Amino acid sequence: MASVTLKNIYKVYTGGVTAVSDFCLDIEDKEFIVLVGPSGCGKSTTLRMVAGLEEISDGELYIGDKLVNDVAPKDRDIAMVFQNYALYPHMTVYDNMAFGLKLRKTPKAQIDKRVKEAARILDIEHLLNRKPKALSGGQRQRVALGRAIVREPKVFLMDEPLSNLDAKLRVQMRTEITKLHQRLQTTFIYVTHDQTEAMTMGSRIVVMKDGFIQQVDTPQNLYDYPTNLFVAGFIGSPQMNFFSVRLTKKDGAVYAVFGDNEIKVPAEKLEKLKSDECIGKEVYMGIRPENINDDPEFVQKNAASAIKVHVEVVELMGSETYLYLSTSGKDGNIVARVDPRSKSRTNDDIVVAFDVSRLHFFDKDTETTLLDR
Amino acid sequence: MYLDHRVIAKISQILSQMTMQVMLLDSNGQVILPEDNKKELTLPEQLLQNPTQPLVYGGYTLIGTDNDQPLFLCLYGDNADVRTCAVLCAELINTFTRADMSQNSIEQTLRLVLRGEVESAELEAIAAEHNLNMNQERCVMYFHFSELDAETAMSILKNVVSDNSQDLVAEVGRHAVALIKTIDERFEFSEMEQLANALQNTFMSETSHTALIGIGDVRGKLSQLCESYEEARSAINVGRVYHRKQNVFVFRKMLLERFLSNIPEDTSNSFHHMMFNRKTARLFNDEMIHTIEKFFENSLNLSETARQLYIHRNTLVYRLDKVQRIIGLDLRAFDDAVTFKLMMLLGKSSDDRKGRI
Repeated sequence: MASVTLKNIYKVYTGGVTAVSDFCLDIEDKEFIVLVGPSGCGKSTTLRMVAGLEEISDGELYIGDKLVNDVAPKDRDIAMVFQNYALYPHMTVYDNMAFGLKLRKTPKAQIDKRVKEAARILDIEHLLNRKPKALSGGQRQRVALGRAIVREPKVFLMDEPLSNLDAKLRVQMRTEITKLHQRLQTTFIYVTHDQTEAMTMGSRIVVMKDGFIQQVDTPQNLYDYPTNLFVAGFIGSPQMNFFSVRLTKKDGAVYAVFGDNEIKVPAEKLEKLKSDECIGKEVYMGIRPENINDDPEFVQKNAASAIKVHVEVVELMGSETYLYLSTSGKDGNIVARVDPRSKSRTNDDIVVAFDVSRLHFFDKDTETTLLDR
Repeated sequence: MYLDHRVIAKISQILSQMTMQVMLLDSNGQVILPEDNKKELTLPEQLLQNPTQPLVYGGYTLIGTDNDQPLFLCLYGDNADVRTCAVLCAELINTFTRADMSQNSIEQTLRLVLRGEVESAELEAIAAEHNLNMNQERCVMYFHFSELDAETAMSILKNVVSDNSQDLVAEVGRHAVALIKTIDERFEFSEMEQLANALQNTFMSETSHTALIGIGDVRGKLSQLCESYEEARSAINVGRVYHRKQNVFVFRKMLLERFLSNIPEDTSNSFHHMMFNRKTARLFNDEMIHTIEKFFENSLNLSETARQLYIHRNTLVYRLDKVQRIIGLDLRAFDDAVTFKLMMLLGKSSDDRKGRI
C-alpha cells in the first residue's frame, strides 16, 4: 500500500508532440482514482509513465516516498491489468496466475499460497485447473485480476480493463472491481474513456483533455460543479445542454436571453457569480437534461424560466423518457430527461421549464465556470 | 554471420584480455562490441573485397575474420604491433565461431531451418540427432524488438514453453526471436494470437519493452517451416503499415493488406488522391477520419459509434450526410463503405513505416 505523487510530469515524444503537460496529482494511500477523458487526452500515457512503460520527459514520480523515475517497472511494486486481459491459452488458471511469480523465482510454497489466496478473494477457486478456453469472459477477466493480485503490489494500475467486455458484463465487473478495492485496501489507478465507469467506481476522478488535467474531484462534485465547459459536457449522459446566451439586466432582474427566449436568473445564482462583469455579455449557459421539465404543474410554477419548444423525437427508456426538443436561438437539439408518464409526443409544440437553481454559466472566451461553489 | 548472445559474451571475454581496445563490427558496420557503443561505421569497399587482408584506414586498422561471412575488427593505430594484434584476434575469433557452429547446437540448427538453408537429406539427419519430428504441424511466431536484447526475450520465452518440450525457441537476430509452436489437439492455431497478446503483456510488465509479433501459417513438415517464418516476418512488415496501433499481426488474417501492398505505389497514390485531395482536405480532418474509422470498427453501427465517440447520434448522422453530400459515398451502405475503406488504406501503403524489419 502506498501513496503516488506526480509532480509536474511531462511526456514529450520525439518530434515534439506533447502527450502530457504539467500533470500534478497526489494520490492517497488506498484511494481509487480514475483518469478519464476522450481518446488521445493522455490518460493512458500517464498510467504507463506510472507503470514505467513510458519514460517521463520531465517531472518527478514518487511511489510512497521513493522517487521512481528511473526504477525499472518490475521493481516499482506495481501490478498492471491490461485492456486485452490475454491469458496463456496452454496454461491452466493456476499456472497463469503463478506465471509472473515464477519468472521472479518466487519459492513454490509462496506461489501456491498467494495463488490460492487470490483465487479465494476472486471466488475462482473452482476454476484453478481449467484452461482459459473453458472460461467465460468475466471469469477470464477475474483471472487477469488474479495475476495482478498475487504480486501483492503497492499500487494496482488498470488500463481500460473492461473495454473488451460486453455491456452487461461490464456493469457486473464494475461492481466486482469496486468490491475488490474495498477488500484489498490498496491504491488503485484506473483509466477509462467511459464516464459512467469513472463516476461509479472512483473515489476521485481526474478529467483530462489534450494532455492537461481539467478537474480533479469527487464524482458528485464533478457533476454539480464542473470547472469548465469541457468537464460539464463530458460528465453526464445525455450530456449537459449548452446555450449561447446574453445576460441582460431588466427591471432589476437578470435574464439569460437566446432567440425569442428569456430565462430569469434567480438571485441566489447571481450571488454566486464570480464577477458582475459578465452581465450584459454573451456567455454559455448550461443545464442538465433532468433539470428541464415538461410537467404542466412545474411549468406553471416556474413560468419565468419556461420556453416554447417543438418535440422532434421522443425516446422511451422505461424508467425515464428523453425528449429531443428544438427552440429558437439554439442550434441542434435540447435533450430533456422527463418522467415516463410524460404526455409529450413527437411533433407536439409544448412548453418546458428549467430548474434555474441548477443553471451553469461559463465564460465565452476561456470556457471556465463563472460561478463559485 | 549471426552470433547469439553466448558467442558474443565469449568473444567479449577474449577481447577484454587485449591491452588495446578492439571493436567488433558486423558486415554492415554496426558495432557489436563494446555493447554500449551503438555506432554504425561505413566499411571501406577495399576491405569488403578482401576482408582478411588488414587495412589501415583513417588512423585505424581494420580486418575481417574470414572471407565468406566476415565479422570485422577495428583497432586504433596503424603500426606493426597493432596489425599483428588484429590478425591474431581475427584468427582467434574465426576459429572460435567455426568451432561453435560445428557443434550444431539446436539453436543453430533451428536458425538454418528457418532460413531454409538445410538440404532435405541433411535435415533428416539433423532432425534425428535432435529428436525432431519431421512431420509435425507447427507454426512460427516471430518477435522483433526495437531495443530489448534477444537474450532477455529468450529467458522469458523459455519459461513459457518449458512445460511443453515440443515447442522450440531460437535467437534469430540481436533483437529478434522465433518461437516454433507445435499445433496439435492441445493447442490450436486459433490460440496463437491470444498467446502473442499474453506474451506481449509479459514483455511489457517485466521489461517495459514491446515487441512486434508476426504469426505465420501452419506447416506440416519441418522442411516447410522456413515458409511460416517468412510469413511471420512478412505479416509484421505489411501489418505495421496498415495498422499503426497494433503489435500482433497474423499472416492468415491479412489478405486485404497483402493484396493492397502489392499494388504499385503510383497506382495506389493516384486512386487515393481521387478521394483525398486538396478539395476534400477540410472535410477529411482528423476528427472526421477518427469518426469514420470508429464507425467502421463498429461495423457501421450508428448508436454504438456515437456512444463511443461521446457525440449525439444525430451529430454522427450529420457528419456522414456531409461526407455523402461532398464525395457521393454513403458510408452507411456496405458497398460505399468498402470503397471508402480501400481508398483510405491505399494512402497508408505509401507512408513512412514501409521500411522492412
